[in-house]
Amino acid sequence: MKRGESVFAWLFVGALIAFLFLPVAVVVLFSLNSEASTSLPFTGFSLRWYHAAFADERFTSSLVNSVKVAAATAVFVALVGANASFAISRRKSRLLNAFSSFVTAPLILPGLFLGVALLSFFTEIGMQTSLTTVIIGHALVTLPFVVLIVNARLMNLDQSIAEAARDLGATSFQAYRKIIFPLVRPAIFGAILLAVAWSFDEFIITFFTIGGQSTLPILIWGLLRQGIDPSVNAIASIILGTTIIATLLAGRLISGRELAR
Amino acid sequence: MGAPASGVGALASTEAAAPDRSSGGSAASVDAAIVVEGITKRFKQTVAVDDCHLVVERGAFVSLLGPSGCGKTTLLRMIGGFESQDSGRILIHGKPVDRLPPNRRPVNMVFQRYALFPHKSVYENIAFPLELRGVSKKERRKRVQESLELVRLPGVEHRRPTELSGGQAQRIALARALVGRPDVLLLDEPLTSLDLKLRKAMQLELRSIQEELGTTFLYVTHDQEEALTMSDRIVLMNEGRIVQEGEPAEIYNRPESVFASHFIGETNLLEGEVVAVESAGTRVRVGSLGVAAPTGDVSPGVTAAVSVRPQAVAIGPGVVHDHENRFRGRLERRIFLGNLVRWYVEIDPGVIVTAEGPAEDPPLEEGTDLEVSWRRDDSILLPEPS
Amino acid sequence: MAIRAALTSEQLDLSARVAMLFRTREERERWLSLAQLTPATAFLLVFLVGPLAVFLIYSFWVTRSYQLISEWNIENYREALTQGVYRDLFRNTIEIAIVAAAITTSLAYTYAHLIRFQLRRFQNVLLFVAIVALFSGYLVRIYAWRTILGDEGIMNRALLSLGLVDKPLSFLLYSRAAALIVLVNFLVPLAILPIYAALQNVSDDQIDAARDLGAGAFQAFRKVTLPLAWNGVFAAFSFTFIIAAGDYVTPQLVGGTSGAMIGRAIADKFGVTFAWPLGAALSFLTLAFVLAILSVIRFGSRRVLR
Repeated sequence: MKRGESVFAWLFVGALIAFLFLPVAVVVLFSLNSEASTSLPFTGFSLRWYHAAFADERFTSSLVNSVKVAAATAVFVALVGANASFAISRRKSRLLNAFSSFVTAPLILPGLFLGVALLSFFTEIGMQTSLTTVIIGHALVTLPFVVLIVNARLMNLDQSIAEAARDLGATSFQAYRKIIFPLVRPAIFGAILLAVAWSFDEFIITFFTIGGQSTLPILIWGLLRQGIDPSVNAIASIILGTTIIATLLAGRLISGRELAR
Repeated sequence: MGAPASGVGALASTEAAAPDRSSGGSAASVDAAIVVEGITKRFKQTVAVDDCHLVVERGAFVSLLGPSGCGKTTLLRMIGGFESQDSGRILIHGKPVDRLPPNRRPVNMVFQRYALFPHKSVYENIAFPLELRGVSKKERRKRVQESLELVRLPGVEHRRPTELSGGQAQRIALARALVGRPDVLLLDEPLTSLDLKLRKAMQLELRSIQEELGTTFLYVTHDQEEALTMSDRIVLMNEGRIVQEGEPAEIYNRPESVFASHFIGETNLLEGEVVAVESAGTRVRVGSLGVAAPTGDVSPGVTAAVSVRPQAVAIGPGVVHDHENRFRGRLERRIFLGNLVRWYVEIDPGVIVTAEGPAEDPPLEEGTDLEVSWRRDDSILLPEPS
Repeated sequence: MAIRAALTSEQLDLSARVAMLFRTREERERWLSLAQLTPATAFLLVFLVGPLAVFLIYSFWVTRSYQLISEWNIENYREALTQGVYRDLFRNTIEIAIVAAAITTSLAYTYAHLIRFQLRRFQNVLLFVAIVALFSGYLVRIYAWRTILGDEGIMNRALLSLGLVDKPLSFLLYSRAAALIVLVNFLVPLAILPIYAALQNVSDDQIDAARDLGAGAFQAFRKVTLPLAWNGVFAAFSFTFIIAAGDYVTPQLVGGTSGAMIGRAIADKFGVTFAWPLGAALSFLTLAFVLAILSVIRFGSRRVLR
């Protein structure tokens, strides 16, 4: 590659990355500000907004709710999604292809649309909005991740590996337990982590399906409407920290290529 | 491994269950390593394997040879238990295996792309079948060691499959398939992903391992040279059918069809019409020429093909041999092959005969008129060219 | 057959019994697949198809004194299409969303192209950076832009202290530009993934062959790379267009009047003003407009890209 081209490439890529992470940097920076202002210049570092957040009962209960929702969503979609992936990858058929587009449909609908549709549905069937309905909404959007990621891993597996296991004396259950599952497990855990990251940050669907309770993004929304409260930055940083760590961990288990499909 | 019931008992009940399939032939071959009786397999519209019958004797190295898509791999996979046939049955060491899943068949397979388990070490890969069978740790270690020595690759136990070269991975796959002492080893084009030099070395080594163990090997390949080098017997397949079966020399020297003569080795194929059938031989008219061939199962008036190996064709201005076939022609092309030379001679408009032999001195010039000849008995008469 | 023999010899083990239940392996696999697919299918039928169906039905109902009444009519659609306020909102929404999607797709394409073909040694890392960005905040991100663009925000402070302006530029926030910046900011990572995946399927040999046959760098891109990657590019555009058109947090938090979009009106119908049927009709119309525009683009691009 010519030198000039790669300098341009790095400039563009670097500028775009800076643009993408500018909001993240701003939030984290101001969460550490010792002053209440959210503007420059910066006077000093402190953790006072984190202390303030943890002292606030609204924050701790929202945090607990967010954790509950993320955990329940992740466990549910991992079980349901991984099973579906195994079935999809086992055999090629038009019906199964149709099914995979069906599973991924929630990804291409705007969150608002899904949120109000779910609200209408829960109202119609007389289901009280609660954390349960939030979990259902989150599961709808994160199920495609699991199916796509696990599917990608299964497709990359050499078909003859499972056959070799059978050939060497394993029953189909043993082949699954000793060979296939261990090879797919990292992808499932990676997908779980991404589902957690998504759920922890999800706002729109949560907003319409939550009822009286609160998660961290809902809390932030409420605080924003009440005017400037610098602890918002601390809460936002906690969300960001969680999702970014979850994504980084997921990156150790699955490759970017399995996601980019 | 295998059906627990005694051979006789299992067989008796099978015969009762499938009376229409009990043929007299199976009694003689009941002890063979593999018996394939009338196996057919369809995928959607296409017939992958069409009514194949095959007997593989114990301790033999047999190759299933044919072009890609001829059904050889499907047949192998049915023997291994990865596909189920639509009709027919398979016996291994006299026991029917048709209803047995792969893990309960007394055969093991070496896969084309090795199929080593990437999350297990070499040791764990080879020990896998022993572990499943509940072999003791001590015994496992001993047998893994033996297997590694058998494939001449001791000392790699702790490596991961990703840390092995292609040739090493193939040896480990072989060790893993042999460690459980299968009755029959199935090999599905195991050498295709190796480079030429390594492939040649592995061919010899596979053969010597097979001789050392005395295990029956059923080897699928599309490479005729490989099959000729390694096998006791070759089973030639085309379009789902077994077209010829025999020892390598037999297959090479006496092809029974145009396909066989084409697929194995190079050959000249002269197509024409049978004009005379005599006790001494057959005459076939090819263009304006009369070609002499041995007697065969043909009658005058039918179309036939005569196959001649290039090595059997002699050339020269003024040939002195007492060859029954002698034709004048013009040297179209002369190609230097290193140890040999190949000449392309047009003996009739559009009819080109290839001859091969040691270099002549001085070299003939292209365009020279010359004579080609071969013995009648080197002509192979093949009925019904396709 | 050996199993039949085993049956008579009292060696009936569990696997044989299971094998008897489903005669062939194909059958067994089919049942297993069915069992594995059922939970996901049931879940999606109930909680995806169900809600969409109810939502569609609601769009043909009416509300009276805060009660949903099943009185079938198309008034909601008529109102949504005829009232000036909604027409303006639809126009605004489509304009903003299409521009946002176009900018997003171009930036994402450039990024994906550069990491795929020029910075290929770092492509895995740089792809992963995009994925981290994708998972790092939605609401938080939009909120952060208020801190950056607001009257008291970083931008204005910087401009003031540099003496470039003497009072804060209030149009930085609450404008169409602000809405576009924010939308592009959270949509770019989403667009990078499908484009990168499509570029993965364009082989170096294909591009080299084009160059070898006389195409310049741009022609090779225009005639080979782009058509081959078009499905991914179009997927990225569709994706971001749909999501931008349906967003409501962005217009609410940074859009102002010129950046007002239909999403906010829809959300209001389900909040302060209890007008669910109208909200549902607005939602379906938004989706219909977006899909119509996308199919026009799809059709047009098929002729242009050859």
